[in-house]
Amino acid sequence: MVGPLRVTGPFLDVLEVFYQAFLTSDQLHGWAIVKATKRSGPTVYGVLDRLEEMGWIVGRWEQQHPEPGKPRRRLYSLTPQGETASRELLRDRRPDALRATRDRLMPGWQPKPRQAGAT
Amino acid sequence: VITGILLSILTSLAAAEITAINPWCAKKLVRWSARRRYADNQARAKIRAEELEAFIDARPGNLLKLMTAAAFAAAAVAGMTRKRARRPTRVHSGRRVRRLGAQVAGLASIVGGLGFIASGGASLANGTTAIAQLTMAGSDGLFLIAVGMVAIGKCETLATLIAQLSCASWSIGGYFTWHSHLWAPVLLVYAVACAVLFLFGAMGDSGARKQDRTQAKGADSTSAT
Repeated sequence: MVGPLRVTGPFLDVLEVFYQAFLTSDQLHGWAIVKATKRSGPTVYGVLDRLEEMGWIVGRWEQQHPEPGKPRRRLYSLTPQGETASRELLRDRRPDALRATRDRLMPGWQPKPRQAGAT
Repeated sequence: VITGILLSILTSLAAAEITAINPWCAKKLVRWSARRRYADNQARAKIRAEELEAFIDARPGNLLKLMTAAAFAAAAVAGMTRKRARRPTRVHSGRRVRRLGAQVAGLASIVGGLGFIASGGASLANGTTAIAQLTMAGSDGLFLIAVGMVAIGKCETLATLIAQLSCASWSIGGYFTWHSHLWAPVLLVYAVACAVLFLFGAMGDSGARKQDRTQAKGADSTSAT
């Protein structure tokens, strides 16, 4: 069951990483998210649970680990709904980080003006 | 010197063995954590168990793998505790006390039974007892073990009572027989523990009976209205 949106520091950290991955068309596995956010495994997986329940991310198993003999990993990426929602949330809560990410990954990008009445 | 060398070899072998089984333990632990954390969602538990295994595998170093698995286990236990705290308590505390009393008494009875058999065997080996006495010790031991198993498995009041009383009686008897022996104080502590267990069980019984009466009264008033 999806509860009310509870925005915490780890939640925003994970979203930021997902948004970066979205801009570079990457898919992330748990260990990569932990390394990027520098948060503990249980914290990150707690956030992943919530994001999955909200339908913001979707997971799929990789065919095979790049290194032979290793267990396959689960890869996550933002859904279209998650992409919109995370962009909105990051724009409100972490505008500097969002701008820095865009400048780095999409130089020359200009934000669209917000529509009247948009939240 | 030879003992020292042997000890150091054995210690290093044991350390190497423990280090080698760390990843295996970590994987088991992390699978258990996933099952506990997602107990209400079996599909997700299965996915997470496999996923966390891969996560642990990516962690460098055997000790770090185990520590990460321990962190996941701690988070799972914390989650379970939170869930349990939110859930309304259905079992009356008296019944829980009684069940706990039965389980502890049963365990004590099994330990006592094994002790009986072991002491009989040791006495025979020392040549201080006859086969007939060993048979008696063995049958007494087996009886205690059987009673203990019934007390644990079924929480039977009678089995629990027998377990408590027999443990208390043989430990008190043992204390007076071997009062000068090194392990006589252990028997005394055991006898006191049995007495405490007896009180513990009685307390639980009275709590459970009170709950039964309250429930019966509630049922009566509901049917009357």
